[in-house]
Amino acid sequence: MSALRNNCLFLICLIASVNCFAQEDTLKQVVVTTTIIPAPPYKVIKVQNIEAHVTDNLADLLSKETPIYTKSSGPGGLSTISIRGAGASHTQLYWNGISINSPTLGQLDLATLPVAFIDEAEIHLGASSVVDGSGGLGGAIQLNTSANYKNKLNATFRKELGSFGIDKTLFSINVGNKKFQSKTSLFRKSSSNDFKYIDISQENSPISARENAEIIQYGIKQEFYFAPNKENHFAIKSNYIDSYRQIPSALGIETKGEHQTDKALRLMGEWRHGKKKTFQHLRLAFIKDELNYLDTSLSINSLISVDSYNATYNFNHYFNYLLKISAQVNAGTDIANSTGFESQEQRNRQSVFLQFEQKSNWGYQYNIAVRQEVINGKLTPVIPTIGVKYFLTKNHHFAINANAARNYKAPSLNELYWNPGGNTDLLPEIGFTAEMGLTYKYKKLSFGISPYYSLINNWIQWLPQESGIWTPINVKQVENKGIELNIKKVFKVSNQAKLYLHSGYNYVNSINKSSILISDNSIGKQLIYVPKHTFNIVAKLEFKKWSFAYNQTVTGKVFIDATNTTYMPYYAPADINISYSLKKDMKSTKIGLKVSNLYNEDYQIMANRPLPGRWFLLFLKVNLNATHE
Amino acid sequence: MQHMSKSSSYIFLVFVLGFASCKKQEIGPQCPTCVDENITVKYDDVLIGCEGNFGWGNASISLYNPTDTSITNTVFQNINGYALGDVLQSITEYNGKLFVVVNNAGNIEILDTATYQKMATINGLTSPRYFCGINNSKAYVSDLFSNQIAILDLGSNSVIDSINTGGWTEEMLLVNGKVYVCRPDTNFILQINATTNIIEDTIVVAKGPSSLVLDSDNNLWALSSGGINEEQGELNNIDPTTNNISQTMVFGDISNSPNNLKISPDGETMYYLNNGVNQLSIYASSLPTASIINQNGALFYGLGISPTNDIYVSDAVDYVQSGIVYRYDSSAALMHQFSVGIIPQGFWFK
Repeated sequence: MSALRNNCLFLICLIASVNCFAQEDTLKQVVVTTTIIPAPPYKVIKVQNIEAHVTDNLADLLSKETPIYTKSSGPGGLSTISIRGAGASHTQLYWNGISINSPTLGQLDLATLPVAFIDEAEIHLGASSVVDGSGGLGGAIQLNTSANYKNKLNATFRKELGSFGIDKTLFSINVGNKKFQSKTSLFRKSSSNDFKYIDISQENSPISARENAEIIQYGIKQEFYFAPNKENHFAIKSNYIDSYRQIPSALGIETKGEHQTDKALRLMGEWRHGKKKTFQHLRLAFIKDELNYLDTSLSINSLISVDSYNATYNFNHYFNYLLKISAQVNAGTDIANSTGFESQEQRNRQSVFLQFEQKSNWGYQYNIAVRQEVINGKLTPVIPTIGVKYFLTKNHHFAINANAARNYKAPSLNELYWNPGGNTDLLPEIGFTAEMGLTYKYKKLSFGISPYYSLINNWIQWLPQESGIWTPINVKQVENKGIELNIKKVFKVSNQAKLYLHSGYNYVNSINKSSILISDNSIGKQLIYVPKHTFNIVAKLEFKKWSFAYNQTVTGKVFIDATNTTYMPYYAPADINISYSLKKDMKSTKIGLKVSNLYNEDYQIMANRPLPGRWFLLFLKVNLNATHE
Repeated sequence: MQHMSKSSSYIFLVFVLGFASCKKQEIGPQCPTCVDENITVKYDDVLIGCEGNFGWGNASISLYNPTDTSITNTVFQNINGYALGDVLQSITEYNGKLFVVVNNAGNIEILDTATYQKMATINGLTSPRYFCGINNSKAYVSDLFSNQIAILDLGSNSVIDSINTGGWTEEMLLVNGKVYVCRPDTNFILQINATTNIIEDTIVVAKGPSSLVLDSDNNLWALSSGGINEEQGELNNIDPTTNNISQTMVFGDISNSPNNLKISPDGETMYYLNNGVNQLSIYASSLPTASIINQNGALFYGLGISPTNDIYVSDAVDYVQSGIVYRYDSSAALMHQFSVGIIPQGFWFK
């Protein structure tokens, strides 16, 4: 009787889920998905408060809402992240499942991605990145978009004006019915960024204004969703982003007027099909990336242009709610032209992923998966992964999990083909990672604690050779040990006031374990630009028509030389965000004030790259909204 | 439940106020071990120019005393109160002053050799490489990108004129009123009249001439790397009275990139880097077949010969950590090794 009920519940969930990316029946802990996502034993962080950062870039979002270390050269400037002590190129970014790391650089500048064009951001830490693809030795970030078929009309206009010439405009309109939805967004952001800072590079540290730091970014997003029936869903998703940025010099260097324009066009078509217990998901994508760096005074004009094609097919079959198999077949091609290459370079990748997930009726589940990739016709190292989750209590509030994976990161096209210096003999970086976790989740409180260990072999670093030419080499072995804590709670302060709180703390001890270099004095020392401690807390109080949010981050000191003699001090900037909303039928208007770097801290994240002191932003949001019942 | 929420809110408030009251003084890069309040200048000091990483602003000067083997890092910052800047290229002594060329900062810091205190800064250079004093009021500065040699007025410490060179210029040497200039991306050494500032002659050598020395017979020696697998490197002896090449020694292996030609204080023995430290007499008829100091898997980056004929050689290791300097005696026996700043590449001997 009980089993029958469970099966019925399971089927209801299946039907409901065709509409959505993932849906969870918390009672049975059954996650039914049309695509492949990390299994329950793996760690996933869903980034909170995306709406509050809708006019920011991805680096701003992650640095405020998660304790992950974000390295930024300035507002809107080059920004990368380091997950679990790994390098910037060891984080793989995906847009609706399609890899968007630059194939030439191997990494993505997070400042070039406006939050306005995504609906959901998920961080897949350590081994959980293996379901997305290879290369996420630290982890992966999935940026997804989706439609709400209940929407009739949702139009938003948002304007923001702030210090040092910040001017942001976002207009979006989503229209549709139960079978068809269209989502359009237009975004523009500009800022002269001529903020005041203390110039420590000059005698007596005078106050100066930042020069050559202007940014102008604009973009358009257009998506169509079509669901002719309950079994089939189609979507076409696209966005185009143009980011023009002047590149301010490090302190003590006279500006030479360097600037850079990044252009990205991303297009994809997808088909999701769900029938009974079988789900299929096909994605075809085209991505065009262009980067133009200009330094007129030194007559440097570098142009990189990459066309990427990708096809991914996912297959999920549930034998019953306890047993599931998944398979993924993927093929992609990157065609790269660069002023740094002797000729056009092409890379073809194919991969197969198989996963088996099983759970018991009462409290444990496990999965085994394996990925095999082929790059330019050559087999790459096999990526196996295994995970186990066990509920400690009958009510499923407490669980422990463990997982482990091997992973690898193929060298980037620059590392292979840059002329001069590219090294076609480079070995892939091989990672091993293992993690434990304890989680609690019940109603409005959740927390987790997860220690982890990882080892990265063949770590690539550029070094000059006898000829003076810089060449990437497999230099060292890096060991990362750490622990992550997170807590989330919703308090009901009164009938009209609610307090949302989430906070995280990361500790990472990331060391150079061994290297091929003679007399390397950095063995056993913390890697540069990897803080041991990072912490963040976000508290949002909603009271009647008012919303008050406080955000505090603390980033511990980072060493800036491998022998750990010099460092950048810790920094702890805080932001507040106050808004007031007026609601009338389908219309709502919100006005707000944001104060960033509230305590006017003078700080730098990267050495000699100053950041602004206290700054202000005013915003207005007008929204028109109607839904189909 | 309500009570608990309120107390949580108070805790949060205390937490916020706690942050508001925290103030720290450190801004930018810090080096606690570098600070040495009492820098005493001694007669036999060695300054080690450390390039630092491009764009990181971490160029520095380390001070080593060979008598008491004491080491002080970041001496420029310690004495002058601010960081040296981005990419130290060269340190040249002229008229009792040190001209420290900071490449990516586009300036030259002038230091007093007696105190290492800053006397003046010359700004307005594009990508300066080396300084060559002509007389009390005039000097040349070579440049990587400006296609010019800048002419300095040493009275006002400013750029007053320039000489078009058509490209990258590197080391320079003044001999009998003529300045010889390396053009490393070509096969040429330019000869400029130091009075008229006119290029009077071009000497053709192997690809990639980068360093020049003058020997005890007043002959010029030029070392060319041969480019990157383009040509065989060469060591040429040039007669500065005629600009004729009187002797050419060719490096047999095209993959070799010989660099850093230096000469002993008596002008009789030359040294250069090529898979280790190599030594030859100015009267030698061929290049040495073996190094006097092997680099044993490391990659030597800078070379200097002291007034007492000690050989100083630097290793930048992985280019993001403290570099290492090895000091050998004239018979190539290791005397001392020590850690300095990031990417040590040049030596100045007081």
